[in-house]
Amino acid sequence: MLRLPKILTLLLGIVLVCSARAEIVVVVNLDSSVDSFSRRELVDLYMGRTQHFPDGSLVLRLDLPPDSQARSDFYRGLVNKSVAEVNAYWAKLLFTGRASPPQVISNSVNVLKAVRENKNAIGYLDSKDVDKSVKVVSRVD
Amino acid sequence: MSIDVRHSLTVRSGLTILAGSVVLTVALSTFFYQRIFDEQVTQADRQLQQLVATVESSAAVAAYLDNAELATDVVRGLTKNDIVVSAALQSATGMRIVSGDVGGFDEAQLHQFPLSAPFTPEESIGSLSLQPNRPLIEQRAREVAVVYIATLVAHSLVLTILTILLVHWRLARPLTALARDLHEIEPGSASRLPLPTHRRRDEVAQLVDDINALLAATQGTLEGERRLRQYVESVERRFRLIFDHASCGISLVDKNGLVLFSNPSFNRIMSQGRPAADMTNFLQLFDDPAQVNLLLLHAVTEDLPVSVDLLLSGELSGNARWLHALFSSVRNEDGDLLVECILYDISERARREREVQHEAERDALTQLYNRRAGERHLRQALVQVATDQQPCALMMIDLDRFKPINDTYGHEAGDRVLIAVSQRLSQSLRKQDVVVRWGGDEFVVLVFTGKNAEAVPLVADKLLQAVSQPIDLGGGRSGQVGASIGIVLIPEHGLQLDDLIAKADSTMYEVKEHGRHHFSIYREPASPAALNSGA
Repeated sequence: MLRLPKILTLLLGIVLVCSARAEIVVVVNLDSSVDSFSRRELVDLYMGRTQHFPDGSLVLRLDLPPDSQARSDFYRGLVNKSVAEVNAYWAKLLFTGRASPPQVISNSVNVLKAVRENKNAIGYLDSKDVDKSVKVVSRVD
Repeated sequence: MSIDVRHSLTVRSGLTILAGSVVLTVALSTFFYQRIFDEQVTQADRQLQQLVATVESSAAVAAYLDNAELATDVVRGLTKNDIVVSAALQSATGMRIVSGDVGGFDEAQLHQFPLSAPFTPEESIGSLSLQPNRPLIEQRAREVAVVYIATLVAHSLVLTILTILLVHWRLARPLTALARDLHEIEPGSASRLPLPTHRRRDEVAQLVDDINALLAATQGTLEGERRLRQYVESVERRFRLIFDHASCGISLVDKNGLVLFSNPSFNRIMSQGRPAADMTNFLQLFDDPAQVNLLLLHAVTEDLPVSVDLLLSGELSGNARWLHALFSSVRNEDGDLLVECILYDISERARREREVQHEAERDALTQLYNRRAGERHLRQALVQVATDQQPCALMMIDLDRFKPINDTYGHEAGDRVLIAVSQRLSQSLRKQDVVVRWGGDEFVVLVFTGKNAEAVPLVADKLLQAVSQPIDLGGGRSGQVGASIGIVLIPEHGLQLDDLIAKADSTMYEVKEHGRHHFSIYREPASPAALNSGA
């Protein structure tokens, strides 16, 4: 005979684990002039409206692979869209030849690396993967 | 029968249906035209909104990114719809992309749709402006409305025509035919209405049946009345025949004696021998109007028929005309009492009766009363004498020397003597006096002498004188007879005829015994008979 409180605690735990979204952090090069990004600035950057940092330098946007959990969590948190929806958005703009989606990086380690190496790069990754080699300018959850 | 076409059932009902249909169609058309037009315009607006909704996300993205290519694509796509004249996409950051008839922008008709940022809906990032093709939209709305109205009108028209035709074929035509047929049928004839050709039992067929039943009833009634009229006429003819050809006079007289109605025999009887007589005054037609008037009143008041013989007026006594009259009261339709008079001319019968009476009463030879009639007349006269207290004398006359003449010259001579004596006796007396041939050569006379007692001998002498004149016996011979007369005085010597006769007879025999050709007046037996000698 199972004890009811124990079962309830177990179930609650499962639900919390499943619904929990990892916190995503947006990072830039330590030398970047930018210290923080508002949510709106972040949206404009990633959705292609803004091509430049506030200081005028061209932005290199970095994306994670479409099947990564972090990418899914990032766009869900940023514009409340699925990865597929964001892909469709970019597909619509592709024919105009004027807009291009962020560059895809294979994993968060490589994102960290690319940001470290490029002053104008901006990327995102799971907060647990971040280290002190980059500057966190925003958090998305 | 002619029916004004304007008033025919088909035309009137048709016009009514047509008018109703026209009014209804016009009302419905007016109502629905505006409604459909408005609906079409509203629908076009909705179409515009739907168009915008279709391209909204792309337009939003184009405005978000200031992407001219995408914006151009969007506005071009919009202007490909014929209800959009021109479209413009404007971003908050200043991009403005226009497509279509740019010059035709009319701010008043412009439809503005705000665009919000694709990822931050609370942020407005521009707008989409559309210039709808208002003339096209309205023209289409009109077309749709007109098609609808045309359908409505056609529908109404077809229904109206159908209804009129139906009324005409199913109602007006059979009724018109029925009215025409009925108009041609003579009331009382054997003609009947033909049954409608379609066999169904509708109201018209029922009407035909009922009318035919009425026609049959009318025919029966009229035939019955005609037969009755013929019967009455024949009866009336027969009665008229009887009335006109009756030998008796028939008339209706009111209680004042005015002749209201009479048959030909009445006029014939009344006018016979006096053509100028007034046929309307009943009373004056008779000898005694007052008597007739009383009889009429009697008939009316007693309500009993009066049967009486009446003498007509204006006749000489020798040619007197007698009528037998039956008076009975009748009441006419107004309740007035009238007298029905039935009159027979009995003059001829009365004359014959008088002749028969004469033959029965008179002695064939002398034309004097025979003994039987004489006795009756004498008795009547005696009754009259008793009531009137009028003295008279009865004389028994026996001829003297009659037998020798009869024996010598034969019966013919004797008859001549009797005829001559009878004539002389009658001529010597007055009319009211009675002369009777008592038998053989015996005569009895009753003489009304009056109060004058001297008259009796004078009369007796006169008679003796008359008898004793010579008599022509025929063959150139002449003879002479005398008479013995016995006289009784009435009422002095009695009132009973037999007694008087016996007394006169015995007195006459006394005369004969005392020398003949005398007269003697009876004396009572107590005293000796007195003899008076005559001339």
